[in-house]
Amino acid sequence: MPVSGVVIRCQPGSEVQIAEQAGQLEGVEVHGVLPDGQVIAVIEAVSVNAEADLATKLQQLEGAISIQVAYHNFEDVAHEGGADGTDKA
Amino acid sequence: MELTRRDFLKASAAAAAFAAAGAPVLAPRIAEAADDKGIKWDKAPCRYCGVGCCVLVGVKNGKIVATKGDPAGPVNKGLNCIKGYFLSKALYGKDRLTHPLIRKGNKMVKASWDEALDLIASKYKEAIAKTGPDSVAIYGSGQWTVFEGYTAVKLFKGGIGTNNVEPNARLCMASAVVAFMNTFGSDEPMGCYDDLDLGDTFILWGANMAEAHPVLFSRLIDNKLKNPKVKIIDIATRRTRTTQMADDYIPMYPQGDLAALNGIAHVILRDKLYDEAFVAKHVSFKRGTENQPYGLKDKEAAGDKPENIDFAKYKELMKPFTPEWAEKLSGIPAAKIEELAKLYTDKSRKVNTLWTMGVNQHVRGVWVNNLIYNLHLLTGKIGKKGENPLSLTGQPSACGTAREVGTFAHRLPADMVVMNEAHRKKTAEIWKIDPAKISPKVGLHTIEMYRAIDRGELKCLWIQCTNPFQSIPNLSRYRKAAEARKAFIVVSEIYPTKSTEVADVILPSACWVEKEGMYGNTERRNQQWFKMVEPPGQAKEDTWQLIEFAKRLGLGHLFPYSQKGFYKEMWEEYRSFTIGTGKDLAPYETYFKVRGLRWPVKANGQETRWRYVDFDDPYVKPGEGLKFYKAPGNKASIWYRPYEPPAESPDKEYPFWYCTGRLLEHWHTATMTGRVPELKRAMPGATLEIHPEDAARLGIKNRDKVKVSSRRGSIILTAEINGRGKPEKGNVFTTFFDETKLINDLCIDAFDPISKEPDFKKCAVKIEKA
Ligand code: SF4
Repeated sequence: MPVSGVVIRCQPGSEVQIAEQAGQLEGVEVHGVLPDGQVIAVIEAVSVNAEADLATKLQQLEGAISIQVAYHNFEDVAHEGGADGTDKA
Repeated sequence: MELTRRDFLKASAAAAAFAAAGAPVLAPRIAEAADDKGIKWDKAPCRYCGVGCCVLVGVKNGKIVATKGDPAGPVNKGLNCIKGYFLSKALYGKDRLTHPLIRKGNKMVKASWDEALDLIASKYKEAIAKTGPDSVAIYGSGQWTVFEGYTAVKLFKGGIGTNNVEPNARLCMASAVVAFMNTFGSDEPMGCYDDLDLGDTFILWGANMAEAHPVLFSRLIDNKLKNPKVKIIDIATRRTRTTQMADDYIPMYPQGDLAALNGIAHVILRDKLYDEAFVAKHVSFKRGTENQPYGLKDKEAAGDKPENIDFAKYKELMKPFTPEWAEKLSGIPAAKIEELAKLYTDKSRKVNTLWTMGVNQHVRGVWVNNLIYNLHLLTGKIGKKGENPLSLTGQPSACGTAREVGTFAHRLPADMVVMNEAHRKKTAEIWKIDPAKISPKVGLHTIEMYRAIDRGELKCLWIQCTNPFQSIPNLSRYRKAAEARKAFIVVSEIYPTKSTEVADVILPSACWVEKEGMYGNTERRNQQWFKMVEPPGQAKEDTWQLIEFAKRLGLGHLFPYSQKGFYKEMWEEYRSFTIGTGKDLAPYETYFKVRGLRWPVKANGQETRWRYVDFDDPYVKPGEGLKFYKAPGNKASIWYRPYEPPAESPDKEYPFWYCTGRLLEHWHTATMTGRVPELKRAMPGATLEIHPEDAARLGIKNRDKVKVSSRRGSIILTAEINGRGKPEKGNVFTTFFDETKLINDLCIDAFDPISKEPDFKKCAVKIEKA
């Protein structure tokens, strides 16, 4: 399963709420809320597509300014030729 | 507790995110131990957009298994945008092209490289012999590496003897290029991304930076969150994600930019808000040719004949362009125009203008670029740290390759042009060829290239690294011509596309880190990378394909590089064009370690962040201050450019403005970001954004199917009301990434008479419930 580490930049004041909502999405783990309004999360999903979908969902949360990807590992799907999202999910 | 590989990976992911967010101490401790066992990391620029983010690519067992934002990369400081996810997918789609294919009737059949290249060479030779070198062409892109673009230019301009070399960049920033040349005498910006961190006032003209240049927009937002003085003004025809973060959103009619910018200049002149000393020292005034055609007829002649005028004459010409006049044409209230003029001239503010396709893809795109520079030149707000106009670019090497190498029908490397004898001579010397070999005749520009196929004049076309049979305007005319086999078409690609559909030969290409390369981004930064993995099957680099073809034409001698030193030798040859021009590049090895360098690179190996200024640019002596040393008499040009209407405007029959653009998650025609299943997921196919009041009037509800028609074609799209983009009343918007919806069928192929760049942002359509 691909894993990624993302930074959610939030409108000032909305980071706590965003962290809470993000944590409720299956496949998203919130690892920290920084004082300057950034939320650190890890996304884990069955395919790169599902992962990108989750990131898009985060992006659409009220108050989210941007989602940026710091790290993306897809070693198991890459070997199955599934990094293009054509795997089962 | 036993930690699994997954725990390690998650810890690494979290650690990278904490570090990039500026809080490395909070990272989980186990990440240090994990450190991606068995993964070998190397640097490369991102494959996608013109921002040129620095990426680390992780390889294990010959495959890419991970990517990271490069913490050492000054562009993006460890963070990629959402398209970063698709770096994993660019290379590993199941339908990668892996062997050459040749058309046999309606079928494409497998062939060897020799068969394919022999066939291409024989077709080109035949056309050249029968109808001359100007009956063949190559069409590349701003995704070509420097090496690929350079090989194409040298082969076609210096070998075959035709200037029929074009990049798809003609469709995206040709207007910006002309304005750089006719204003400053040299292409590419004086400022750089640092201005986004240092400035405090950012005025965006028709640019949805949040989606098209996300990492730069994040830099802007970081600046804004730290500095309460920062203001972002979004002037546009559609509310977007960018609007959400702007301090002020100013809706504008399509084409209204010409009027609004003139209105602002009028106020600056009327109230004497300009910087008199700056203007006297650094500026000259010009007027160009007005009332030129829109290129709707084939082979329509047009051009710009500048006339010198003086400041007094300019002021007089600008008198009619009052804020009230501007309001009528732009829809921006006169009071707002006055306000913008105050903002542009506020001495306590560092003002930057940012723009991209809204300004460039415009039938008067060169003019709008000129009008933006006018404001900065009148106010002297240019050539300062944190205060510059910055033209943003779409493709990863539109600047480094298409513009700097000169893969346009009129250009040669380093700002030179084929029409200039001295330039041809210098080029021929470096290429060690007879100057007579380089034709002084400008080649076919993009739209004319495809029209020439339809007219039966262009016999052979080789397309690399782009997908014109989806992306050009008034598409169906050109698709029909290709389907009628009016020309022999070769397509070098990595996946099947709308262009491979019409090809006679399809060649499988190596992509991104399957080859060595160099890209140059929007801020003059050249970034080199090494080959990290093998291309699949028989796929080969585009340079190899072109050089093997050259050998078959008897032109192999143009590429005398050794196998081992191939890239270095070609780079050093190319670099010699730049030395002493103010565009100086560094020796090849210099780029191995650094995360790119912005040219001109100084003798001491340091980069230049700001051009034309004595505090940074080595071509300006200490004490000289600002010097536009590439412009005639060291003076930049302020242009008188009036308002002229678009090629087509809404009327009774076609009452809506039709505008096209891109989305955050997809890039261009989505051949790399949209490998099929994606389209059915979070972001489905292209939709038609429409204003809720317009929709209500037409009885259209969200997600209804609607039929959109222009004079050129129609298409069924799903209506999107109050989605992420909200066009102003009377406007509709759609995106061009979806290959199942050829939205460009509807676009008019009108273009700017000076830059020949088509207007994808304005034509008239009607909307019906489907
Ligand atoms: S902003 Fe552009 S260059 Fe940067 S990660 Fe996104 S697509 Fe790549």
